[in-house]
Amino acid sequence: MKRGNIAFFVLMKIPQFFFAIFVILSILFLVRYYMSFRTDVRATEMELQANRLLYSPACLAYYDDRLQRAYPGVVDSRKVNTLQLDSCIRYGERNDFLAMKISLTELDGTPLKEATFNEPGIRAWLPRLNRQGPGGAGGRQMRRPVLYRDNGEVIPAVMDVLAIMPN
Amino acid sequence: MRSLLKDKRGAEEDTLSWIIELGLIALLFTTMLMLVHEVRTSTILEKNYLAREFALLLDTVYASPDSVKYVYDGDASDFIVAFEENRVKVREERDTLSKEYWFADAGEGPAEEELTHPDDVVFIERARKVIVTDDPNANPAFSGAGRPVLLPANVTGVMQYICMVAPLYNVPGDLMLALAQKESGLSIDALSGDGGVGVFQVTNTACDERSLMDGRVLEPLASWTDNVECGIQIFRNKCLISPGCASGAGRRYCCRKRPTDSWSACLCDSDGCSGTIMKDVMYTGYDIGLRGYNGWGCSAALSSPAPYHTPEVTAAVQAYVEGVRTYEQGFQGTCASLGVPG
Repeated sequence: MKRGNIAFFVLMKIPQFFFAIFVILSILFLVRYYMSFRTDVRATEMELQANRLLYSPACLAYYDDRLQRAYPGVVDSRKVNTLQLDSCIRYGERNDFLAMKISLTELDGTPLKEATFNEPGIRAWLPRLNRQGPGGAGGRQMRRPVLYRDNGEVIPAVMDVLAIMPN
Repeated sequence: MRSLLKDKRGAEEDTLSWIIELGLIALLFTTMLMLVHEVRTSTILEKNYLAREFALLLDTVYASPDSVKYVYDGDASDFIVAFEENRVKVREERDTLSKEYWFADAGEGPAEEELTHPDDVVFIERARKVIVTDDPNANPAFSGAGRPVLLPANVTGVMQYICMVAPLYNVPGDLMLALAQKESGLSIDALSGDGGVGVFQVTNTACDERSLMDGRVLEPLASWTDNVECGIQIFRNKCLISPGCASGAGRRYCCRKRPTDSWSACLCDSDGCSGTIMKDVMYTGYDIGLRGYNGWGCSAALSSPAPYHTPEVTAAVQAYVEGVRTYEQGFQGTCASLGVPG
């Protein structure tokens, strides 16, 4: 076979070579696309932090100074405010991760008190709630039966928590 | 068809074609092998998983209504796990970048620690702070400064706290448990007719000395933990009146006090106080502190009419010390079993 013919033959094989490369890259892309390297724990985290509000004496749980014990599920009315919530769950200097809106109502629906955790986050993410993709946000609505302790009086109540995390 | 028609030139093209195609197949095969190798050796998933796992664990520990110690039972020994700036960062030694996930502290500063190939990861929460360590025997009582006031206010919590405070005052934890059992049955709510309050039935509104744990003024009537520390402090001070109390070498007598005898004449710690004063019961070692805690009982009420200490009175005051010692036998090793080597 002449050298020129070989060169011609190899040139004719170049499209085939590129096609093979394309097939290889496609396989690699597809395999990688379907391989998951992450675990989405946002739903768990929202649930956890909502429970933290009720369990931790640093958040809303009533704390008896004399006995030095907390009462999980008993909400201290004095603690239901944004300042308290922002200080009991701190993601560092800037919270770009989680926001919560809390409302307490009596069993007959009479409103008792409301508060927000990470007010700027609520303002930024609430309008984009349940939108897919970057810029959107995911949320979780939770309801917990609680005892609302106000001036020594304990009132059966319901605490609704809307937790929002950006995508 | 092609093979049937091929000439010499065709056969050469065919061979060349096979070589190129084999080369492409080899390239594909090698690439796939490299992919499999990468997937097999990659730890991206593990690092992401561990970062989230530890972050959520930290959030959970911070959510605890009381002090808690949690030992992570998973395996993170292949990694370097750093807790810094509200992030859990997981990496291998060869990595330059970490996989990270955020956690929220409780306003008293985030957990800060770097653990290299930890066999155990231990989370200890107390007073809104979390300590992360790789020592499974780490105890919240002795690590770091500050008062672990959030130990549970049940009997076990009270016992743990007694065991924790006793070594600070160089007194045996098990003996202090026995003393608390005798005084209040280890109840933080105990109140007695003579004004005694709490676990150690303290009557003082303020303790003589500041806390050895954090330097605060102790308020034994307002806080059960202060009550415990104050009670142990009182016992230690009662013990210190005799130089040999802790060593067991000390001896102290409760004498038969006559109405004309002074208090100092009544309490003697050497045979030199004999003479006209009759010795009643001799105490050695920590019994001196125990007897002192209950009061020496050489009061005028007890000493009149003569004989100043009747055998009944002597038996009654002695029964207190013996009662504590009996309880102590039951508490032997309790502090160690509670994880606090009192």
